[in-house]
Amino acid sequence: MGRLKLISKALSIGKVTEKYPFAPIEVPEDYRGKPVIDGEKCIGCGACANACPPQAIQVYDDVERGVRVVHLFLGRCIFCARCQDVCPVGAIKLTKEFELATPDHDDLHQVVELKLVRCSKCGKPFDTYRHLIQVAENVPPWERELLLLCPECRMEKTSEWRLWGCRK
Amino acid sequence: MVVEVLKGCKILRHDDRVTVAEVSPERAREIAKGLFNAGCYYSCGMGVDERPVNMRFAMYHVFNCEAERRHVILKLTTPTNELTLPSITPVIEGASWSEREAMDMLGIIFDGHPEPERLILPEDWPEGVYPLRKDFPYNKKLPPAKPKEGRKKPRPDIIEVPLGPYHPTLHEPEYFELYVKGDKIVDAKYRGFHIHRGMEKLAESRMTLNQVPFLAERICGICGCTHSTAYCQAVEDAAGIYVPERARYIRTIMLEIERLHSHLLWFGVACHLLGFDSGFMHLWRAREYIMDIAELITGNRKTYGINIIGGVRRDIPEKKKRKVLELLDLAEKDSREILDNVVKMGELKERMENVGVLPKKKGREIGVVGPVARASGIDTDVRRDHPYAAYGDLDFEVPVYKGEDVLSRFLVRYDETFQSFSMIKQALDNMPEGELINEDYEIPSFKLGLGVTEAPRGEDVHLVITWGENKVYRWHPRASTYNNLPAIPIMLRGNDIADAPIIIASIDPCFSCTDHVSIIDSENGRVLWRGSLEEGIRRVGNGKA
Repeated sequence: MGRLKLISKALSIGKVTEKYPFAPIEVPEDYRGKPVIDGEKCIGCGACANACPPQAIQVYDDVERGVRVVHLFLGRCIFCARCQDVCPVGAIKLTKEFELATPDHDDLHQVVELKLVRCSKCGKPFDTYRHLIQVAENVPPWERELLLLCPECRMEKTSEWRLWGCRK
Repeated sequence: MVVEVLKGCKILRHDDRVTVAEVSPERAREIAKGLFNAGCYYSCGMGVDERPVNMRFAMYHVFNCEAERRHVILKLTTPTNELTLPSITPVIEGASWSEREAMDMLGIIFDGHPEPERLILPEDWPEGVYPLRKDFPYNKKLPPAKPKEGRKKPRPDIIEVPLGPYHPTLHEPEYFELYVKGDKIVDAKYRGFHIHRGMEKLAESRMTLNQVPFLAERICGICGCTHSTAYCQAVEDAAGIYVPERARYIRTIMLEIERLHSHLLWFGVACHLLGFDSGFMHLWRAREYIMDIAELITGNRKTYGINIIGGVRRDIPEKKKRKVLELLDLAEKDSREILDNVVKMGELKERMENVGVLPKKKGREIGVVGPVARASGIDTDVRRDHPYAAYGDLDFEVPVYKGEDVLSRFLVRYDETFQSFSMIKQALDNMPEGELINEDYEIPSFKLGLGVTEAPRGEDVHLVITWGENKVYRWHPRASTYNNLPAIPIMLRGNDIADAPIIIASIDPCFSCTDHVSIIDSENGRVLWRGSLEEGIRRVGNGKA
C-alpha cells in the first residue's frame, strides 16, 4: 500500500526541480560566497594571510617597486570566511556570488597593491602607510617618531633610549 | 573496575572523563585483556614519534569504558633507541588496524602481530621510509619503488569478484575482493586507504591550531562538522578551555542537523540500492529542507565552518530560529510520511531481514560503533555515555535493536532520525543567552587531549598533542568507518552476491567511493561489466551483459 500512497504524494507535490541556471537561485543573507577585497579599505596588515587555512591569501612585499601585494587566489579558497572574521578594518567580505567557473585563469586572482613607507633612517621599505596610520592611533604621541623606523632601526633606537635613560 | 586493572601502572592523568596510564610493555597484554573483560572496547590507537622530546616512540591505545563513562588511554613507550613494542592484537582483535597503521607510518615494530602487513602505505612505497616521523619533511616526494611480486594463487572452484574503485572523491574508498561460489559469497577481503591524504602530516607541519578545524571538517564529505567539533574538543580538553554555554548548544544543533542530513541521505541510498528509486527521490527531497537550514545558519549547505577552538563562529538569532523551526516541521512531517511508507513495504523488508548478520560478540571484539553496534544489540552512544556539547541537558533515547541484520541498522537510523528532530527543537528552545566564543586561553606545550563525538556513523575520536607556537605536535583523527569496515567481511560471508551492495552500504561508509566495480569471470578472465556497482550486478544477474 505504501507505494500507492507515495505516488499520490508525488502527484500532489509536482515538480521540485529548480529552473537554474535559466532562472536565478536565491541564497540566504549570510551566504559564504566569493570573497572580495576592498582595495580602498585594505591596510595590508596580513591578518587574513595568517588566518587563511588553505593559504589562498598571500601577503608579501615587492621591495623593488616599493609596494605590498595582497594576493587572493580563488582557486585555493575554501570559503570559510576566516579572513572576514579577522580583518581589523572590514576590507575583505564574502559576497553572495557563487558562480565562479571561468575559462580565464586571471578571473580567479585578486591583487591589491599598497604603497610602502621607507625607513627614515636606513631607507628600507617596511610597512604600508595605511597600516602605520592605523597603528599610530594606539601609540602615545611621544613614541610616534618610532613608527617611521623599520623594525631593526626601531630596535636600535629603543635600546639607545634604554641605554641613556631618556629620549635623545 | 578500571582502576583495579590499572593497579601498579603510573597514572599520568585521572579525572572524571579520562584516565591516562603509562604501562610497561611486559604488562601491556595483560592490562589490555583486563580492560576488555571489564567491558571496555578498543576505540583507537595512535603512534607518536616522541624522539624530539624523550628519544622514544610511543603508542597510545584508547579504550572506551561506557559503563564507567570514561576513556582509558594506555601509553606504551619503546625503550630508548629501540623500535619494538608488544602487539595487543592477539588479545584484542580491534587493535589490529591501529597497530598496522603505526607500523606503516612510524616504523614501530609490533611483536606478535598476527598480520604484520602494510595497511595504509601503497605497495610501491619504498621500504624503510616512515612518513609520520618528525624527520620526514611533509613536502618530500619519493620515486615509486618496485612493488613486491607474488600474488595468491586462484582457487579453481571459486570466482573472484573484485569490488572496488580507485575513485578519489571521499574519505574511504573501499576495495573488496569477494570470493564467490555460485551465487554465495564464501569470503571477502578488504584493501583500502587508496586516497590517504596525509592530513595529519599537513596539520602538524604547515597549519596553525585554529586552521586545523577547517581541515578536519574536510575529512568527510558528509559528516565533517562532527570531526571539527571533535578536534576542537580535543584541544579544549588539552588546554582546559571553557566553552560558553550558548556555543555548546549551537554545536549540538549543528551536529544534529548533520545527523539528519546524513541519515536521510543514507535512507535514500539504501532505497536506491534496493531498487526503490521513488523512495530515494522522496527522501532526498525531504533532505533538502535540512540542507536549507544549514545554509541559513552557517552560510553553506555542507561545510558549516562553525567550529573554532573555544566556541563557535556564528549565532542563531531569534529571526533565524523561527525560520529553522518552520523548515524543521516541514522536514519532519515529510520524512515521517515517506519513511513510514517505506518501512511498511514487504518487498524492501525481505531484502533486508537476516541479511548481513553481525553477531554481537564479534562486533564487540572488533569494536564496531554507532548504528552498526546498536543494531547488533550493543548499547553504546557517545552522546549519552560521554556527554559533550549540550547533550547532557537534552532528553533523548538511544534505540537498540537485537536483529543484527541490515533491517535493524535501518530501524536504528529510523528511530535516531526522529530523536534528532526532537533534540534540535529542545536545544533551540533552551538555548541560553551569552557569549559565543572564549578567546582567553593559553595552549600548553606537549599535552595530550582527547575529543570524542558521536558522528552519524558512530564514535569519532580525535587525539591531539599540543605544542607551543600555535601548533599541534600530533593530531590523530579516527573516523567511525575505520572501526566498522573490518566487520564487513564477516557480514558478507554466506550472503548472495546481489546483497553485497546493501550490506556494504548498511554500515554507511562514504558510498560514492564504492561505486565503480568490474565483475570478472575467473575462468576466462573476461570483464563482464565495468561501471556502477548496482547496475553491474543487475545486468550480470539478468544475463544481459
